[in-house]
Amino acid sequence: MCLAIPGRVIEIQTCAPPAPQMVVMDFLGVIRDVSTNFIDAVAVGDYLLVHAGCAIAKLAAEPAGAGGAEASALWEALINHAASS
Amino acid sequence: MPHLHKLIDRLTDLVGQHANLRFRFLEVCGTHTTSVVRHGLDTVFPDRLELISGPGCPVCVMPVGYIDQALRLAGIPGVIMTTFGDLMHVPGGGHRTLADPSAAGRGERVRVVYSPLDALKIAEENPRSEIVFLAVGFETTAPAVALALEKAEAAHIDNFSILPGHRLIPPVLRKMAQSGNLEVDGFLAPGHVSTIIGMEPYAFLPQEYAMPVVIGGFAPEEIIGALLLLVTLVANDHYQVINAYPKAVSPLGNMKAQGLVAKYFEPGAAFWRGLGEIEKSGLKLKEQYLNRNAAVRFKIPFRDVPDPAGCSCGSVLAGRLKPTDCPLFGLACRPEHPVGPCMVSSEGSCAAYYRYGKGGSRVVPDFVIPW
Repeated sequence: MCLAIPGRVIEIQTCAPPAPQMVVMDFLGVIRDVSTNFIDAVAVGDYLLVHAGCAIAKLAAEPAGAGGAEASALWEALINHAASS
Repeated sequence: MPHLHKLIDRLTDLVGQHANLRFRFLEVCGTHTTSVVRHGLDTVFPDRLELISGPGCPVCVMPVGYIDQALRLAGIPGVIMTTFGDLMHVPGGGHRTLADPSAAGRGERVRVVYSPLDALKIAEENPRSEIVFLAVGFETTAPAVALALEKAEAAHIDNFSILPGHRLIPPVLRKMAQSGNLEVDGFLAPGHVSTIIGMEPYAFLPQEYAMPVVIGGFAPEEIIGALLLLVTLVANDHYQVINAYPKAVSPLGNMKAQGLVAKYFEPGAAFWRGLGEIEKSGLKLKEQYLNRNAAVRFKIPFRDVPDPAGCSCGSVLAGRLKPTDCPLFGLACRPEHPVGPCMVSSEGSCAAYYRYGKGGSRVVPDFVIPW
């Protein structure tokens, strides 16, 4: 149940605190309102990780499939860290 | 993907280099369990590497007494019960469920919602009804419930209450590590719980119990990568917490979410199916918000009720039994007729093993991590 779904912010809705600060997000074609109270400085185009209607993290906005080299470098760094520390 | 296959090859090589060692890890999260069997990752694990499912399904760990409380609340005239869908089919005492039309009695209203904020909206739209939300979930889910409470307080939506059922991961891991009969060499820690709590709450595992912890994501590559890190740590006798899901987990976690949860809740003793009562392992509402506790508001206290006869969910959740080793698995207990919650929830390990079979499709799929 801790499933969290990534999506893209397509619209910022103004909503005065302490009511939820809402945005509209696109989850691969599914459009839904999401609360962003737990995220700093949200902009249109940001990718957020969403659980139970609330964004819980901001993701680096990389295009799909383009992270290969960077992901590879990350694993190398982590494995070296695990082996040597 | 070539990348995934490279990681699998490295994992196999590394385990092969340590013929005298066994690598047995507990995957704490139900989403990990589901991903492993759905993608058939367990079929490519090298010999001597084993993943054990743990207490990582929040619906599954709720004791029967909580389901009975929910059933009694749903039967109160004027109450509209709101819940995540996973709870609808979990049997209470006497095998009744929230989905059973007779179970809700004269209340007769149970609605499935995606978010506690949706439950609050129902409260706004139905001012003459009492709306109760079944607040289950780990640290990932508690902030959304705290936000619903925050809005209810600010807007004076007084007909909204919750049945507190949140459970916390680090205390249950401590209990399992303390028990001494859990034969594991490290923990694959839950990615999205860690998005909220960060890395520090796991530090006691390497420090006090010599158990490495790797926080992992949920794509096949992220799971295999996390296992490669765990094997590396065990093989080198390095005990620490590594964050292998940095795109969604920061070292300190989401402090805004932590802050709002701490405004409404405090840790308290809580019952877990299969593991009993564990100190400070649940979230209870603070004294000044007790009127938001449906159990207090409607005087429906928790009573401990035994698990259904023959059900092994408790042993499965405690990592003592594999789903397929339960005598009821696939026979008396199936998704369409579940005896225990592990066969109900989409994240329950029995449901995952039943749906995908051990090994899932038995093919590692091409998979592109979208972010």
